[in-house]
Amino acid sequence: MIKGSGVMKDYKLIIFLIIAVLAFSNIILAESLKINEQSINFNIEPEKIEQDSYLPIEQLKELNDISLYKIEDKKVLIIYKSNYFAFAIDSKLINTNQGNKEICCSPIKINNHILVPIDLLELIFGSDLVIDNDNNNNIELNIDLNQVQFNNQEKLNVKIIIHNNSEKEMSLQFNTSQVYNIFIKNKQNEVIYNWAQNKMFTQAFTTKIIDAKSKIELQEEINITNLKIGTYYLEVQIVANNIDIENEKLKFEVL
Amino acid sequence: MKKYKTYYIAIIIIILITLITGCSSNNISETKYYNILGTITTEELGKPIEGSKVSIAGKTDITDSNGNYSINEIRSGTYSWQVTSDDYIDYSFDLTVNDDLQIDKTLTLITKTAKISGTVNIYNSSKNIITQNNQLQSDQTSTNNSINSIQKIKLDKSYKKDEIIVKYKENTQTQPLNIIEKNNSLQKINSINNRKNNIVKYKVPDHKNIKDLIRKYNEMPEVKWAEPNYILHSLAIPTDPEYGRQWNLIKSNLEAGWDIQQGKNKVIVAVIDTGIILDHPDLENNLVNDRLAVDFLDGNLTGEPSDYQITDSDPTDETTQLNGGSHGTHVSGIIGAEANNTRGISGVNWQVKIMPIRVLDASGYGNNFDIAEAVYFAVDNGAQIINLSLGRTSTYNTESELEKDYLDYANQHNVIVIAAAGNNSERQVMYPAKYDYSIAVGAVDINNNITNYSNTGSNLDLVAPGGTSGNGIYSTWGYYNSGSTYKGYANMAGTSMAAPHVSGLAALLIANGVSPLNVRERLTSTSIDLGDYGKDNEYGYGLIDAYGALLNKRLKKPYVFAAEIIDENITIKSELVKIGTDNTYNLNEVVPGEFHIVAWRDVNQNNRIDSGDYYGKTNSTINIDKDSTFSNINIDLYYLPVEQNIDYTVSGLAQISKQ
Repeated sequence: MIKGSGVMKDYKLIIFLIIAVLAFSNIILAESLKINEQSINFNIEPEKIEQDSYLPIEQLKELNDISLYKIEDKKVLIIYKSNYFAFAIDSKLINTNQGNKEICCSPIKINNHILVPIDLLELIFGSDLVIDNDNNNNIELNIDLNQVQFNNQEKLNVKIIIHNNSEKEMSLQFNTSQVYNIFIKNKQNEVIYNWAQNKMFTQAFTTKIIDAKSKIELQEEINITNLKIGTYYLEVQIVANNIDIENEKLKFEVL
Repeated sequence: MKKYKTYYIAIIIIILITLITGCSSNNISETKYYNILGTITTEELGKPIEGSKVSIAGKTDITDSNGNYSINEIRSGTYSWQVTSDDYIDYSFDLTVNDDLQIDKTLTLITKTAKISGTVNIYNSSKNIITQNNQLQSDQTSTNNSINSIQKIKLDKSYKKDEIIVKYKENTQTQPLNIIEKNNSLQKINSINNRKNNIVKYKVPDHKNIKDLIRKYNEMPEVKWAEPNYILHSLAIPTDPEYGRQWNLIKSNLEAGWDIQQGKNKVIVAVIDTGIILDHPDLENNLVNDRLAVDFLDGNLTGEPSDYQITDSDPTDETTQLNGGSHGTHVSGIIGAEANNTRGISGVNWQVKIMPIRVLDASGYGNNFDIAEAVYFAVDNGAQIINLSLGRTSTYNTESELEKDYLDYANQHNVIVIAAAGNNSERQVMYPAKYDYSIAVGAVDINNNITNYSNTGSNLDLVAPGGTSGNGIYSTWGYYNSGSTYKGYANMAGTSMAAPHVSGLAALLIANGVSPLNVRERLTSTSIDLGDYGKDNEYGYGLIDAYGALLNKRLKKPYVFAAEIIDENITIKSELVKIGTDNTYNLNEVVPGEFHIVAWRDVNQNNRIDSGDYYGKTNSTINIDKDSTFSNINIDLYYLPVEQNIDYTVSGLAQISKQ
């Protein structure tokens, strides 16, 4: 029988996260987790989180509402919001106040540090656990125009720059050869030009790879002979199917 | 009186017209009806069974005391003929009625029954069967018939590790050579006297080096040649080194199809796309001449597109690697990469003429006007098929008069336009695939499931392999880099890849003599029905089936039954059941005994298991006892190519003859 306060004396709180230990193993680390809207960050560049991805449990100490206890050498007790979860290293069985549960893969111990699968964290934290895909924040769209005032015999030279601000290579995936769309809107936010409207695209998937801390530049030339004198907004949309990128707008005038 | 005379004349004229038109069978579509009769008897004693219920086309008759039945006025068509009788195993099979028929059937008494279930794995390819006959046919000094066989058979690099074949010179007695056999512990498996020569196959012990033995035999003056027992393949399976990656061609049932037609270089398929890498070694022999390979990109956008003006005569795709490489080269390879040239892959057509027309730029987009010009050019210059692996963005999927005009022009000239349905996961097909004159093609994955990206909808005509990120379509590819081109191969996925499978099959059909007017109907009437029964919004008429299309028949579901197999005689020992839509079967009436479970698709409907059919059986027999139940008895069903020359008799089928 495990009693929360009684075991406090006997069991040691795990406080270390030694990243170096991970270098010993092929363990995949998560990009970012949020539990109860509290982020747990790891100082390792993110990889994809799977059920069997392992995380160093010591990192959870940052959270509110949680207590971690090490029992003997191979057992751990976690108390979270009045629920307890006890598990042993190398065992898939989790003893909880809601009965015994089995997880996908056993917690492991490397260099005196305990690592648990995401599956266990999902069991403990339920819907409080949110895997935060940070890709969207790492991709940034900028647009640039050759000038901001035009006469309608000139052409808009639109430069579309997609930045990858992360430390790893990113790939943008597209359903067709269409990478972007360009709109010209008037002051009333009405679309008066749509670049893709009369275009045909190949119907094969395409990918744009952007190196870490790098960017790609795309250019388009737009004829504005039909535009009357006035103020307009150029808006660029990236149509990637795997990452949402916020549209970017630029104001220009036709004189 | 004059008034009555006029009436009489009018009546006589009407009677005469009626008689004349009645005599002309050409003017009236005639519905034909046929009669079916026969006898139902017991298997054991051949005694008539009274009270059996025979049904076909919704009509039924009960056999009399002589076992006879008669069902009249059956409209021509294909129906299920069934007989059921208390205490006997039910029997039913598909029957095409186009004559008065006599169908006799013996029924097997149910004494004790067992239940067997499982799945049939249908392979659209042949199982490599190594036979002594095939090996001996590879002898280059054999008869003319064998020489014909040589042309159809090739040697694979693989060979049986424990066998060699030795051919002795003319008039050589093999008996004195037995000492060599003994010294090497060779065991003579069999031999054949081929006129004056003697060819012997030996089994080689495990510890012997097969290459050393072959060398020793070849050094002997009495031996003409010695070689391993090579594994043989039909030539209808391409020898191209990367062919093993082309699951898409197997799914399209091309291996069986190539037994009928492999393509002809007089059929022209226009690929209106990003251009092509002209000197790709797997494509260059299957392209039209330079005059017809052109570029319309960024040309004059005024005037009538039918008065097309070529931008330049070089359709080279200038797409860089960064932009994904050459889409047009990939599409072209699916239609017609050269086969059996020791390079890369095989196309749907081994020979064809691809007309590459560049209309999309190095970023993969272009405008309607250039595409319209390209269509007019293709039609005017002999293209019989036009492939459009392109489409609009889903937000602006509206009709265009320009497109309707060029499709109308193609249709008027009997040119078939095949287009990609689009990749937007929309429940509507993209234009130009959406028009009635286009054949709209959606994409299925390696498991024949509609992909999550493929557009669907009521305008979808067919589906074909389009691949996914995990299992893409492998084809010719390359990219442009500072004036030069890289030539290679790559996986791509999309309805862009599905459309050229259909274009390729359309080219095979035309090469096989099908009129372009009939190609659409041929493709849709012979496709494999997927999803809901008949045409549906997800799969259209279904997945293309090259073999069925070339045969002009929709391949039926295979039958499964228990059977006693002795040599080349197969006797049915159970009911016959058709596999379900999920390829599973349930046999509920099986007589006790030790039997194989057989799956069979009688493609040529001649009631024999022979070339052109699909056939498979369990590796070993099953000992079926009283009321026993077997599950997961799975059967691999393979196509039987002409080269395997298989011909098995099947006993226990209904005997059908013309009355």
